[in-house]
Parts: sequence; C-alpha cells; structure tokens
Amino acid sequence: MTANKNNYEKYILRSVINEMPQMKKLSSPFVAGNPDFMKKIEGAKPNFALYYILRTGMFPEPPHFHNNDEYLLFISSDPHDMKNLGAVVEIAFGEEWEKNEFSTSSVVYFPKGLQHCPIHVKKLERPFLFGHFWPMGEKSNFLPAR
Amino acid sequence: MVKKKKEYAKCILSPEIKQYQDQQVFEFKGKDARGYDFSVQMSPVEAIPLMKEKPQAVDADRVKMYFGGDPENMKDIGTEIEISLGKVPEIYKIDAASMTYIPKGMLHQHRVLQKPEKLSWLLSFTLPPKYIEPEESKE
Repeated sequence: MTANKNNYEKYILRSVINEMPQMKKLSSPFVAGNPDFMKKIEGAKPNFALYYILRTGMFPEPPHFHNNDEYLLFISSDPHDMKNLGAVVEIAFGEEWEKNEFSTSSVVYFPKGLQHCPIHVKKLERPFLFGHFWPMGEKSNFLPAR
Repeated sequence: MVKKKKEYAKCILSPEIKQYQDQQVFEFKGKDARGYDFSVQMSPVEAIPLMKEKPQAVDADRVKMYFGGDPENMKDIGTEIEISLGKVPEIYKIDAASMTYIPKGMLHQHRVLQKPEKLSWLLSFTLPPKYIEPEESKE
C-alpha cells in the first residue's frame, strides 16, 4: 500500500545544479608589441608583456624553466611610492621549491634553466604591475618542471 | 634550530627609485647573458616633464610603451604626447596606449602636451644588440 500524502517531500531537494562561483580575475589585459611591429627592431627583439595583478592568489603557471635568462618585474602602481609594492609575493625557486618572499618593487632574475613557480600573491593592498622580460628576445619556450 | 640560508634570495634584485618632485621612477639596469647592457624604466607620464630630458640619440635601440593606469581601461592615457623622431624632426602625436621604437642613434624626444587627467605610465626598454638564436636552442 502506498501513502498518498507528501509528508516527506521536504526530504527531497530537486534543484541541485548550481552556478560555480567565479573568482574575480587575477590580471588586467596586457601591454606588449605585436610580431609585425617587433620585426622592425634592429637590436635584440625584447620578449615582454606587462599587466596589473588585481587580487591575491596563485599565478596559473606551474613550475617550469626556460632555455634563457628571464627577468620578472614586480612594480608598484603608486607613482608617489614606487618602492612599496603594496603586496606580499612569494616565489618558489629551484626543484626544491625554495620559497622567497618580498613586498617591495623588485626584479626577479631566473638564470637559464632555473626552475621557478608557483608564484603566490599572499597579500594585496592595491593592484601592482607585473611583467616578464627576456632581454635577448629568444623565441618563447616553456619547459615543464623536471 | 638554525634557519637554512636561502640560496636564491640573491635572485630578487632591487631597482633604483628616482625622485622627481612628488613623482617616482623605477629603474633597473642589467646585463644580458652575453654581457651587454640593458635597462628597464617605469615612469608615471606625469614625471616626464619633471625629468627634463633633452632631445637625445643613444647607442642602443629603445622601445617605449605608453599606457593608462586604470586596469579597466589601459588604453586611456589621459593626455596627449608629442613624439619627435629624427635629426630633421618628424612630429607625431599619441593620445592612447601606444608603443614606439627608436632605432639606435636616432635623435628623439617626447613631450607631454597636457597634465594627465589620470594616472598613466611609460615603460621604456633600452635594448642590447641584435641576438641571433642558435637553431638547436629553438623548440
């Protein structure tokens, strides 16, 4: 015999599909040259891009290394206080992920072959400018951690 | 417990911060893997008139990126900038995010025509000489 009442309907949830909360974007659009314009450069063609970091969190790049030297730029966005980055950043170096932290505008140098990342923005008081720069302009290469 | 010395802390380098009245400029000078000089400079556009740079020709290629300081609208530089290129100067104007290339030896100058209405930046690279990548290092 089946009961005809809805006494237990309350125990059934029929709406279980939810929108995934999206995090605020980590970065702004980036500034860089384009291949046609860069062809005009007679000297080393710089490989670079620069953008704002807008929130705390991990950069998406997994640990990796390059076949060339790399410089990462971490630059304050306060024109009256270019020393204070307005953020605390932690970077892992080497295969042992040696963590180093800084909170001032900095240039981080990765010699050719040195594994790096993750990069973690641990605190953020205001957006800062972040970029990469390969002075000799080698062709892009991104080699996953060993 | 003895704290282990950080081997890679030396890879975090400090730029020079230069003061021009109430504006500050970020500057970093380095050497590429061949030993050639390069430099990176990040300057608020408002600092350009304060730096009082004269028309100059340098012994290296330069690129300059002008862009807005609003992460939501980096195209808007909030002013107009006059760029003078060449010994017999050709004058160009920009009023939005732009990149200029100044070949080695070319006389150049830039002039901010109005005080910027909002924060905007100039990123300048002074580049090392041409580099030809060996075939085997390419992917």
